[in-house]
Amino acid sequence: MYLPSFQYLAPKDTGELASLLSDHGDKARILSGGTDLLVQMKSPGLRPDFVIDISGLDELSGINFDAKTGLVIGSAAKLDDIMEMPVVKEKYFALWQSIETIGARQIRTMGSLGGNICNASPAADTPPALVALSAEVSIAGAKGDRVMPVEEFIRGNRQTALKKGEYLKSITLPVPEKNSGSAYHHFRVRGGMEIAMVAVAVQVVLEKNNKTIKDASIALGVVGPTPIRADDAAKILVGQKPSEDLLQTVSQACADISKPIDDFRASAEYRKEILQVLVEEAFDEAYIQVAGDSK
Amino acid sequence: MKQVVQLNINDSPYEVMVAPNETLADVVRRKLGMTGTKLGCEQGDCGACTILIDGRSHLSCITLAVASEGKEIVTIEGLEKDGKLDPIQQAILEKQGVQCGICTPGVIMSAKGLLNENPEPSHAEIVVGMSGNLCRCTGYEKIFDAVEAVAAGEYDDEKTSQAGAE
Repeated sequence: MYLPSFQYLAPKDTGELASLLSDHGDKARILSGGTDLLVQMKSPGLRPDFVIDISGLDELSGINFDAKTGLVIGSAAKLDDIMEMPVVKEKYFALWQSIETIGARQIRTMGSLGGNICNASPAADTPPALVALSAEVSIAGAKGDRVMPVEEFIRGNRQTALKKGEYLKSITLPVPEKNSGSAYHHFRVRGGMEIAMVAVAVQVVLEKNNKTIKDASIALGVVGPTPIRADDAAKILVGQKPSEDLLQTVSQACADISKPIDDFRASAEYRKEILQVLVEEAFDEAYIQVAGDSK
Repeated sequence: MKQVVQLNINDSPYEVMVAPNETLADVVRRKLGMTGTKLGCEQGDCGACTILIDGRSHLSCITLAVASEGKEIVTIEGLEKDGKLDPIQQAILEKQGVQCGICTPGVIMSAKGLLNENPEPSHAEIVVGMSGNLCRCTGYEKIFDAVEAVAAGEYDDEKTSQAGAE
């Protein structure tokens, strides 16, 4: 199984990257880990004339946490390196869980967070977690930088907001409020090298009493072409104490706005059923992180 | 357009003419004759082509050779030292973690990468850590046993040399 011919370009810094992108634009694809790009190029379809390798760019590989600005992850930072940062497991647990489920160890060693987002697969693991954690992306281009939420960046199946000459620079996750927890739950059949058929990420913030919900965000994955931010469903939780009835209402609201497809992996009807279970599970796990297991 | 790349494989320098679309797996196997690295699915699913790059396991079927310059590459051929198998190789043999053998080089390199990152993995960490390598023969248990034995120090240099002296 051979790769088609292309010209390989390895810019030395982001300045050179920007000029290569403005020169070659639509005919180029950015190579980071290769776990999606090269696999797609091996099957019929994707035939870029230029492959621009950003994996050696230190400027795009940093992972830095600051107690004020939050977690800034360079677009080429490796998934495995992100998982190994203690602050990620501690403060951004949903992201940690979503990375842990990707492929297998080899894939996480090679693949980058920016790649997982830019590949914009409807079944990608990290985007729902990033959406629930209110992450934003920084896009660099000749006309300056743009910042937007992850849910706006991913525009459709394999489509992003990147315009010609632009590239994804970094992903920023704000510092979670005090008393908050998050979780990412997904459903799949095999234990490894498998993609999710439904996924849910939840972040909850509790009041000082550690019982009443102060704020919540819910993101639904694999039940539409892009991750869905279920704000209306999340609002139902605010000001409430968790109960079975409340969670059923919320999970039903999530199922109502989901748009899953029928395919060989699962029917749409089944995905909606599973989605509701996952909403409750992910909420429970996020809630217990703050409130403790008092049930 | 072909170009010369300098590859550091198993502590030896190699100068190879490669085209940008050649994978590291193809270069190692076809141009350098090191056929220990196997190709299975060739699309990053099965783990048969696993090698170490800078100590960590990578899939060589979806790694470009031109992108591998200046990195420390280790293939299955690089594990044996002075006629002595690496502990994980010895363990896989003795615990009978090999049947047909096609997955074995990848399994060994993957185990090596896992143990580099986590020298004392739990059973659960071994199961998760080896999930990128498909084996259709052994049912995995014997492979896990071998990794566990190495992690437990059963194949440490001192012990094997002591055993040899007895």
